Amino acid sequence: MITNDPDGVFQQAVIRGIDDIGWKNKYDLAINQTEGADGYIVIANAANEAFFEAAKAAEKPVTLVSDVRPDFPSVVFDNRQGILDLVRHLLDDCGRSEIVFVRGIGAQYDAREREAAFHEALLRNRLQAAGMIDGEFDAETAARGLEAFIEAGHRFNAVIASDYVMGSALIERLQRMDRDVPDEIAVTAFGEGHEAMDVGLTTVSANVVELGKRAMRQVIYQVEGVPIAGVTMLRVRLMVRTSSQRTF
Amino acid sequence: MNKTKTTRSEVREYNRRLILTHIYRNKATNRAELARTTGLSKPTVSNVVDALIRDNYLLEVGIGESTWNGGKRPLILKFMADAREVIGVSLDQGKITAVLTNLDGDLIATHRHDLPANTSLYFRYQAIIEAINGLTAQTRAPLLCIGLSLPGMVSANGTILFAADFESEIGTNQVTLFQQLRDYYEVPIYFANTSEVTALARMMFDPLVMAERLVALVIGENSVGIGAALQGGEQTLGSEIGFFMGDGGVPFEKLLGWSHVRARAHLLGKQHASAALLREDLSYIHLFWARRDGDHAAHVLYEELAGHVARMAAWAVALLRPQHISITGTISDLGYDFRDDVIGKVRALIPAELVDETQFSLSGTRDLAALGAAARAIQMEVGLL
Repeated sequence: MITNDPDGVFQQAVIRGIDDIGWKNKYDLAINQTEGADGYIVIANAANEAFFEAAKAAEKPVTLVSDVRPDFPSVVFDNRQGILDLVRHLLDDCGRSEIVFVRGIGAQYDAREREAAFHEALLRNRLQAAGMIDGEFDAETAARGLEAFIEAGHRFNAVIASDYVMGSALIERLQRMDRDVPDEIAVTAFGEGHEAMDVGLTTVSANVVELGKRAMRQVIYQVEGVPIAGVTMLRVRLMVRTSSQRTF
Repeated sequence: MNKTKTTRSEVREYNRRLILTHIYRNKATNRAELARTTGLSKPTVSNVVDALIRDNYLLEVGIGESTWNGGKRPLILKFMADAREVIGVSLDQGKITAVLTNLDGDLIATHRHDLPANTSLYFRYQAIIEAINGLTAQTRAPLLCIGLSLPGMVSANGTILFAADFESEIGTNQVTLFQQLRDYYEVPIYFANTSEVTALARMMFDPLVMAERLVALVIGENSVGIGAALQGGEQTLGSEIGFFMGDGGVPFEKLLGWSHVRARAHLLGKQHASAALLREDLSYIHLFWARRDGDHAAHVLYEELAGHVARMAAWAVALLRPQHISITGTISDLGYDFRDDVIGKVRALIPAELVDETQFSLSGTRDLAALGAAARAIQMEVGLL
């Protein structure tokens, strides 16, 4: 597995899924070892062009996770469906229309797809974004960005974060700033993990361990000589919690 | 005169389907009820049920109540939707969409494969295999069968007789490749026209659609088709109709295909100085809002589109008397005003009382044809859904 952050929350969950399927099929997982593997799983944009060219030349199986390239198959979440579901929830269930979007890393497929889906949802509902904040898939960067946005006097009543790690951090920061979540500001995010559940964050639940399992199944198939092309998409499901709707 | 003789294996298969269908539709929950409702003998029911349990289609889940005369308490049987999995694939001009479902049609995974422009038919078929492999990698239960939906006019053996953008290749490579699919996966492969299975998917998978006779008007990027699911989905039919002549002797694909709609929008935008219709990233959503804003060019285009769709709908109502007509594709982004406008125009074309018996809906769901292909395969293979 090629990753630029083996200790990241997302990556750790992917590794658990890969390990589970690898163990059942008698494959070992090596992290960031670019030579001598039977096949490779590349997380997001962790590998460079030289790696892909070498893999292609050597006919080594590669599966991408949360990225899409023409020559290699991949496994991704249905980002569009997830963001459309979050916007619909905020508009229809919570009555919020002044929505701030907290971006991920622009170079990453997931971040681009989620932002594009947010713009599509705005167009469908004829809304303007109340603000766009660069969160870079980093809890502190996202929290600082939102704090600065509030201090600059911008008005908004809902937030969609491009991932749940940022979303969880936003709730804590808003509470520290004495902002009422959800009455004043509803917070939602893409993805799912215990961090989200711990703080009552409304998410579109995306099972990251399952993402790892499916990536491992795909690469094992390729190692065993089965040609695969295209993108396997995992559905996501809206999980409403207290960060967007108060429970009675 | 030839007389067709039913073989013992055909009888066994018929009984198997009958029993499976009765449990699936909750017509019976145990062996005694099955014997009563199917009319089969108790030993036959027992043999078939035992075989279905061995194959994991049925499970004994507990003991039911005894009958009024104090008979033996029956073992309750449950249909196991996860016993087998099915793949549905749709081939469109620019992409392949495949879905993996269980026997209830519940979605397990989706796989998409975008094809480069002008990909030859041969390479499209290779891409179908690579896309199906993407899903066979994700199966948890044995693969039962594969359903394939194809554009254009499709023969029963899956040969494309006509399709909008690859007629020059029709007749080459096709049959060999379909045989290749069967040989490669060693499961039954079922073929159908895209519009036909889209109608089936609308009937089977939308809980709001309650119709025994449904027609889908399938308006794709470059193709236009009509599909029908009749008798609660037991009978389906459909075809590409893009080459049929619509208003002014212009084929429907040139009236409703997106590239032509865009070109028409551009022309109207220039004539009426409409910035909304001249935008590079024009979509049906932009057209929807432009019309709402009172943009004259958008209104003209909207009316034209509603007129073309109404003509298709009028044919369908007059010929098939459906209870429900579903307008599918991105054109559904034009919203309920568009639907109502279409209904109004259909009423002007055929007797209003015929139209009043028909409900109209819109669907922009992206995976309809692939889901329909899976539904069709499940139906053909085990008689369910």
